[in-house]
Amino acid sequence: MSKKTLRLARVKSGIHDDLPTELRFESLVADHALTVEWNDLEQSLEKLVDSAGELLLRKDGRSTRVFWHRLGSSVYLATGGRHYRFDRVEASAVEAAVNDASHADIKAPMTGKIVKVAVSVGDTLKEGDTVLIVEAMKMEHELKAPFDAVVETLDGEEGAQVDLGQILARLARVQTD
Amino acid sequence: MRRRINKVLIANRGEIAVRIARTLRELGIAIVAVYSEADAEALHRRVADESRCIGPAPANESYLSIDKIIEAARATGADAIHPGYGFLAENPKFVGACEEAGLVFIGPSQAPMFELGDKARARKIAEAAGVLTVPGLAEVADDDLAAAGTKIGYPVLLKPSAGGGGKGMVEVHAADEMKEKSQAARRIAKAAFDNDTLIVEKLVRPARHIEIQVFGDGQGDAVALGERECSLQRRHQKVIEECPSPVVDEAIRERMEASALSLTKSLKYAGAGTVEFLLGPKGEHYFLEMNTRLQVEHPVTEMVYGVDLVAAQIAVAEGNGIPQSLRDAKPRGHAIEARIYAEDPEAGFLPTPGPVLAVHRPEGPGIRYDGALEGEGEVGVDYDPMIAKLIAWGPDRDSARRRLLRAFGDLALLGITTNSGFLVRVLEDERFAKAKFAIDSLEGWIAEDGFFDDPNDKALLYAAAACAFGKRATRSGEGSEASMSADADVYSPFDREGPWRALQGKAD
Repeated sequence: MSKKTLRLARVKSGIHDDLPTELRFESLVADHALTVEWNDLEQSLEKLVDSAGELLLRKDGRSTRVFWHRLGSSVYLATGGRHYRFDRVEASAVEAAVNDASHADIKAPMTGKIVKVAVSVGDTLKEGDTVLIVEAMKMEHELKAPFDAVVETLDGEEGAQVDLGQILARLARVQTD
Repeated sequence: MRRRINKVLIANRGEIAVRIARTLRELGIAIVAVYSEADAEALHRRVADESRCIGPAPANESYLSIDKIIEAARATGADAIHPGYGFLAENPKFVGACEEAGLVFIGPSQAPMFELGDKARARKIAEAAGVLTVPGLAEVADDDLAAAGTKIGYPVLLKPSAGGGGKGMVEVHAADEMKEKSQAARRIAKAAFDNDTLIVEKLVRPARHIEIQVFGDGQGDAVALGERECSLQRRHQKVIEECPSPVVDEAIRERMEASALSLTKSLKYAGAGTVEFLLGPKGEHYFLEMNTRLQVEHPVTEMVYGVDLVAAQIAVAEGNGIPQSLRDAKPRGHAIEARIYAEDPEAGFLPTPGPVLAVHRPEGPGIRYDGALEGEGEVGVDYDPMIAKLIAWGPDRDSARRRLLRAFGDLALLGITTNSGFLVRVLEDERFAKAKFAIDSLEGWIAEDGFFDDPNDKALLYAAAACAFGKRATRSGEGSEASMSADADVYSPFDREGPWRALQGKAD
């Protein structure tokens, strides 16, 4: 059975917590076994119950109840009273910050709505300047310039719906000494 | 005067309206809900027998509108009004309006509510009843504030005389800060309570916030039902409460109950009330204020004393006096309540209104969930962000604490950010387990490095997320919307036939 790949970004306080984690996972049906791999770590679990909105997972001899709800590209989890949101993100979003040397495409990290366009075509930006803010489920995600750059193209206006991975702006790097 | 109450209008919303409706249902009393346009789908409306819309979302035009609520009571033929807490619960004008309209107000009469509603007056009444108040002065003019602070001894606390719920309290640590801080305090008081009168009190530290539950018959008799420990606060807002207090022994309890009863009886107070005290390091107690209503944290008293305070309020309102069950009530075990807020502890506790996608509630003996969310819903921007309370009873404090933690493990409020993980963190803290805290402790804990570190296993979270992403998107209506179905990729390796499917519920 082949392993599946999933890129997950933890959402905390309305923004993606850090760079998404690339996850590989596999389920061996016969013994309920489940393995997850990330950053060269591999962990095994058992899936005991998998019902609507509720999982019972066993790891290291201890079973844990996890509640879940999925909406589009987001999954909400609760376990031990602690709550989480993970977004499935495109590979391109992972790489946006480390784009090629001359250009960076700013892509929608999730399906949502543009709530703010902070720049115009031709604007010169400093690294870290906000280009756009995309909102989904009242969670805002700021899309920032990965380096000093000039806005080359801009596609999308405030209030527009955008799809996961859609290119919203293209930035050309400005060489600084 | 005895009268039978047949239909009660609940002039409130949220968890407390749902909780009051529960008791009314048990008593066979018809339930009328009022709701704002923002609450048309709210649970408190659905648990009622009938309901009336009382206006748009802003509380000033709905839940705080005396005229609209009285009119709703008239239109539905209600014979009594329960105010809950907050909104109009401590507004003497509302009590007067009910009386004029021939409606029974389930609570104290107008006079004691008016007298106790002002902190300066309340201090005088308490002193007249022989109750020790925090050293301080009422209604001090601006020019005399610094001198008053020196006389009382810094640090002092400035409080809006007309205030409540901890709003607008400002600490002053030295005379030279007084001018600036008092101007700020007056501005806040004016804005929040339309009255800029301040009282100055000594900031007693370390101290615990302990309150006594009282219950009066309106004729000068009253009973006390022990104390509640409410020291764990953030910005003067209670976070976790318990009954009994781990630091109150029988001797302190007797003294505090005697003070609370003296005040309650002197006012010929009717119904449920709470007398709040500061408990100093030597076991001495100082009167703070008296709340003339049901408290948010009343469930811990109900669980430990085995009583229903709402049922008792109705008995008194019907003229039947204090129920014998209250007079006979004896404390048993320990109860702890945690307040669940729609707020983000890791983003400075900012409110987090928004949609709620799914709710799972804990079950089992000794667990109580008072909430107003069931399944899909919305936490709006117009009202208080407290959305639920989780309460656990146990034979002793640590059993109650462990049970509450277990209950949190069986709770899910999905789609919205809440302080649930923060509450778990506090309940797990060794200092909480050992009851080593005072009023300022929680703020200190929050400021510690690593306080919000997540102990959950990443592998578990990732595995759960992978399983969930392998499913169709969940939604009420189960994928009936085209947009959701289009999105619902079923690429999961788990959705295959196999022996484990026997355990699998029908997910989609």
